[in-house]
Amino acid sequence: MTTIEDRLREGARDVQAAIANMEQRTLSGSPGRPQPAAAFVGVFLAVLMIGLMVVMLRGESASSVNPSRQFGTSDSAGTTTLIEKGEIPGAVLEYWALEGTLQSVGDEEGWLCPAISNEGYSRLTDPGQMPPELEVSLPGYEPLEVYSRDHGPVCHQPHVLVMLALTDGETLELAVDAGMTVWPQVSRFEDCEGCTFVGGPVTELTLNDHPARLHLLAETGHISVWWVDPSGTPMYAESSGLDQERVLELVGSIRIDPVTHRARVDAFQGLQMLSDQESVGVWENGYSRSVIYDIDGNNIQVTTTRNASFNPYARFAPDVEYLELVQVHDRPAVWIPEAGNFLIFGNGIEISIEGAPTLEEALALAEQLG
Amino acid sequence: MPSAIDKAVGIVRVPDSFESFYRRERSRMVGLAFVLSGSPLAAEDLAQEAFAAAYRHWDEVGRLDQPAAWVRKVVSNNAVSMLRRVKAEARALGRAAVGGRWDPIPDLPPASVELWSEVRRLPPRQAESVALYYIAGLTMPEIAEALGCSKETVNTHLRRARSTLAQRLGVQEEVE
Repeated sequence: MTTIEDRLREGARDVQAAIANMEQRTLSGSPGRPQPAAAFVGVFLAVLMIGLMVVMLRGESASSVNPSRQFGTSDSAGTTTLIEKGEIPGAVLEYWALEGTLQSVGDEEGWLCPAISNEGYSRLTDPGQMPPELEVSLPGYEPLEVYSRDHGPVCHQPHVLVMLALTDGETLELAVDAGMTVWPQVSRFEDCEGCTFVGGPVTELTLNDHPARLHLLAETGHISVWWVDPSGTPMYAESSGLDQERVLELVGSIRIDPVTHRARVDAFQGLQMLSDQESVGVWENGYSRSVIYDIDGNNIQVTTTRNASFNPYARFAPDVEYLELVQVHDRPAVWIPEAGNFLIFGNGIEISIEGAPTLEEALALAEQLG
Repeated sequence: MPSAIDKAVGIVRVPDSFESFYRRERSRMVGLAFVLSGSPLAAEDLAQEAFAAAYRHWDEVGRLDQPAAWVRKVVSNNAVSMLRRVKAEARALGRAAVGGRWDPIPDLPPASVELWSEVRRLPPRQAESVALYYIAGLTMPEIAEALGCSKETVNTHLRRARSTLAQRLGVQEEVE
């Protein structure tokens, strides 16, 4: 009789074999993109160096959202540090850092997870090293309960506490940036053993003189805004890949429609419109961008990787800022000039045309290809 | 920390070159990311991203006793995070009436596809424990160190994971 142990071990062997096959195919080169095995590591390192130079050149702008530059005061107990405080309609937003956590890993700035981004991990020289206890105390609040260390996804991670406190002193929500390990959905708490959120998951509040029940969780680059409209319909909006400034901006843009009483988040760009045609958008999640294109129900979705410059096999450039709607053979298509001259056809077929510097040349090549 | 052999012969530990480290570990990292993310393309990206982070700090990471553990941690965390974002994205796409896209898993027998899909349905800590134990081949203490918890907790995660998986897959949990 097969046991689960057998299945897992057999499954592990299958995975290793599948990966080996995938690597072999990759190294031997695909028909469209030959990739000599001998050059593989060299290509990776070369691309990596170029990417790093870009990262270094962009360093200043990237660090502008780094909360470590915004360190403010410490409370008397020395256990928490207020790093940022901002006003939003009806509420005060405070960002707190657990000082004990920050110092225990020996970061030079006393900040373990310096930004709401993956960068936090690159600064950890020993991710397994964590403080024995976490204590949280916020001035003006009762001692806060913290996740136990050995249970739940956040216990071992660097923390950034995001306290959304209403002006009347009520705690709206506590969100924890735990290095991408906070559950954004209430329903998932059932799977999160030992997880206890401080404050209610849903809290009554008033936004723009209209009642709403808002549930806000911000984690690493992710924001989920939950609310319940007056009819009791649960609604939510979400996005990710956001820096701290962006989170603040989004929180500040929550509005309640005076007619429908439905909340909406201005500037919420989960599906960002890039043109006046609502069917074209970019989903941005910090890790990848999906270009979504829809004409008459003819959907295509192309995912681009943020770190494409690091990946010799990536098919698309990391940043897609501009699209043009074109037609080829009377079929709708999307032209992404910044993505290295790729033409994407609306029926889901992707044709890449390299080295075509202009749309006209790409179209001409596409015409030749039929 | 130098190994006992290093101490015995008085060898000063010389950090691996990044290239040799990359060559040696890449496949395993992709495998780990593959299991946690369910996507071979995403797995490659996750591994690349982790290696890129390691490369940026290779002066420090390369001198760690276990540089691979550092990269594994980044891969694992990012994979779990990515999976959550993908789910969020799928919900948003659903609202936008746009079909979601997810990569097929190549060359994986259906039984394994089902198995690892169920693993990804587990609570993240359990899924990570399973992946680190069965895919990365780590010992309990190594997993405990990677996850920042005790060996007992890892054991609990694995036991619960096996129990859940056995139930969902309709197989025996243990040999009677």
